[in-house]
Amino acid sequence: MAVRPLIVAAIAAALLLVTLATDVAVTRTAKLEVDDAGTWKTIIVDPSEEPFGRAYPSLVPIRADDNGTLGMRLRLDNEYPWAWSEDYVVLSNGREIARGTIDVPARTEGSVTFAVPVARLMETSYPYAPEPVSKDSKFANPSIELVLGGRYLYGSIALEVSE
Amino acid sequence: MKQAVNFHNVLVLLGVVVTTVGLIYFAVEFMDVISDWGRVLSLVLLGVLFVALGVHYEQGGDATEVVEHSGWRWLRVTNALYVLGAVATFGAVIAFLAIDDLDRIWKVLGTLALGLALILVAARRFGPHTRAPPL
Repeated sequence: MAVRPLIVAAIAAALLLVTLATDVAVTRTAKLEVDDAGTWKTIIVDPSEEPFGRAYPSLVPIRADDNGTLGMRLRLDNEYPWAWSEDYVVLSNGREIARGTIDVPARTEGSVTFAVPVARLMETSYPYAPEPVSKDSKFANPSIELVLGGRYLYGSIALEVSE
Repeated sequence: MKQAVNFHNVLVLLGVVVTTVGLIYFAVEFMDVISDWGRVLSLVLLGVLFVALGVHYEQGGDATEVVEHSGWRWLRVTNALYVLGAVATFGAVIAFLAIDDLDRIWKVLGTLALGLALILVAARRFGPHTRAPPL
């Protein structure tokens, strides 16, 4: 029997194992986070075993002022030996709140921070209108969509807004 | 003898079907674990592996027909491996077209160039003019 094709097959099998092992060992992770009084709360993570990247943060609502803004951060962790560039769009119930391109060099972490008017998030808390929880505050649960490089990811924020 | 041949055919056919299902499962279910380019490269390497094994068996003399029935004459160990090579290559092309980072114009050009290159290589290196003239 011919040996050369067997050598080719063996090399292909070895390269396949090396490729898969290397690829599984290094990852690329994307997170959308919300500023909760100085600490960042993850609301979307990709890749995730949860459907559509939902991160399910604690149900304790983030307190915000009706006239203020809410800080959000898109963070990409790139372990690959080559750069990572992605277009992103952040929407709240279908309305765009941020858009841009994020570039992350090889083996580093990159982030982009933006501020969203709280009033705008309250407008888009469909299908449930903000619920009054006290005389001067109300609760809302706006949905957040992140479109990252063609992938659609979803999360939500529990908000307690003082008027 | 006939039973052994039938059993052989069933095994080869099952091997093709099961391996094809495995290839599809690999291409779809590991999207979150391996990168887009890693998936393309893995499928290409699987294609090379299958075709190389097919060539190995062909050169070893295992390419004879095992079924005389006209509808099943293609069913040989070598052909089964070549079919798997074609399935893996088809999967690699689909995975290549699904890469988000690459502009679609490069995807079209790359796919067309690869397809034409395969046909031209087949025509030049393995065409009828390369065969020995009949005695």
